[in-house]
Amino acid sequence: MSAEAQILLVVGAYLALNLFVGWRAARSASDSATGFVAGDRSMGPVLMYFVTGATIFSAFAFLGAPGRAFSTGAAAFHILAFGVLGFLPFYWTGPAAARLGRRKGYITQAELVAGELGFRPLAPVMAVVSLLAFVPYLALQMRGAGHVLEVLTSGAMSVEVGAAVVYGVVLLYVWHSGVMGVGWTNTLQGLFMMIMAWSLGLYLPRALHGSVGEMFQAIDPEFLRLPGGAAQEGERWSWLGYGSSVFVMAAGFSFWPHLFQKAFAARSESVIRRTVVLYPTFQLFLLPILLIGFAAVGFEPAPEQADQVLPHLLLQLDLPALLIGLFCAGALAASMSSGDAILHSAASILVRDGWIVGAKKTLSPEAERRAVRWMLLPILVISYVTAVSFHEDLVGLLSYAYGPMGQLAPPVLAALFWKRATGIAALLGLLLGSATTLAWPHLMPPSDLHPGLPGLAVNAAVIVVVSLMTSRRA
Amino acid sequence: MALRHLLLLIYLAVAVLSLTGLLFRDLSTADGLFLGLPAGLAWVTGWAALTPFVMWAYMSTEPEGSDAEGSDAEGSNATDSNATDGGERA
Repeated sequence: MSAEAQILLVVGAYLALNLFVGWRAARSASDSATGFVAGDRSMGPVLMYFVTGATIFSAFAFLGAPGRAFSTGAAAFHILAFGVLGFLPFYWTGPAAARLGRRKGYITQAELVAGELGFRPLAPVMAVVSLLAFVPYLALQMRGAGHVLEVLTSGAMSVEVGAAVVYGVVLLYVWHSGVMGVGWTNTLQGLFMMIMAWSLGLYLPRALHGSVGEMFQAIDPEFLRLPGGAAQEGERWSWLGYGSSVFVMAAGFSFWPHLFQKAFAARSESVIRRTVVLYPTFQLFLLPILLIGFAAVGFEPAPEQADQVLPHLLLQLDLPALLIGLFCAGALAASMSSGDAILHSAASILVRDGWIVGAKKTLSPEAERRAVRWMLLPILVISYVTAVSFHEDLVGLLSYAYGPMGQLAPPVLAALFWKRATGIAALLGLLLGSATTLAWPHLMPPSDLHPGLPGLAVNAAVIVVVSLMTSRRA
Repeated sequence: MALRHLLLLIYLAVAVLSLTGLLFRDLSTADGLFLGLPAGLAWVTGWAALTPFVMWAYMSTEPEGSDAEGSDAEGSNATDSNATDGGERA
């Protein structure tokens, strides 16, 4: 049997295992829409830990992070930096949202904000902002999966076919089991990728350089000095660019709707708090991932694309095909663990926030569950088309997605913690903040400043000023 | 403000300023390796390792009964009844 066939066999077995675990998970939730979208609010600490951790660590972590370390050096440290801070707001927002969800039946972030501020139009607007970020993020996961399969099978399976096969499996278990399918597969995927990340992160520096210390000693110290290199080759990132990027990505981190939505799935508030406390242990799994990227610095032949550092190294080291297949499955785990949660969340947001809350339509629990299932298809297709036609590097694509996503933070915080906040203020803040983020690079002189930062400032200022000038609807 | 809130606030402020490069820039850009890692990587890893302990300490001093529904001031809006009317309601 050829090496490519053995790799595909391992990958096929891994995908089958995911399908089995994801399919069986349907037994642990009811047939209602709350069962499909929020798992009947029953997730305990183990599921919550993996569903929040693995959901965030995606193709971006497994492929983009080593690629960024390889191409820009110390600039890659910002990925760890924003992760340390990013989930902390959930310690307070998560329990507050869970409490409101239990009391009022909320199962999406936008539904909560629109409900608490008494302003229905917020829900569809937040849904649109979410989807604008979800599509590139899901496309990123698909590209990651396709990349891995293409490189490790030496082109026997193209990016397009690889992405389609992997996300066909994701579609099946999300369709059948909803959020519990996402939760149980994320537990499997999270364990698998942690083992693979640490194995590779310790093995590759040792195999190529003798040890981690010797590896770093062989690299130009300037390459390892913060804030590191810019995305453009040969240029250095400024501290303004580094600091603003860490801040904006940390601010948006816990407000991604697919992550925030897990507050409604948690069994209790203490489960959420414990998840936040333990969360940075998942973050430490990024350390070996970065070591993989640095192991490739100076390696000949160099990979054609930075995102392909990991599969490129594996192929060049003449490892047994079985082992390469396992590593390949680890990278697919990273892609799938985020992709499934985004897909599931996007579909539920479209139905709940767009159709039920925004358009004031009433659906029975069965009809709502059916509608969420059918919405999986167009979201998957649009993301797939984006994945095969967009050619930014993976971290660049993610950074773009974080811009509008960070704008959800001020309205959510206002809805949860500021009684004086009004719906119209939140809506205007969200719209003007997003517009500022998108227009900033085109209207202002070139700068490293992350455009999400002025967007956040405008958003927060508008919410405060307009709230003080208006009153809530009765 | 309770002491536990104040201490956490100070910790978080220092963490944010440090991780965005506004504080302790000399430490995070120092020459040489620390525990086998470049200074910047050791710096961010240190924050990732320390933060769970700080948050654990904060959580363990949480007043009794803060997990009860509606008992926490953070969710003060929870007393409102202006929920949207889609789907199921608890």
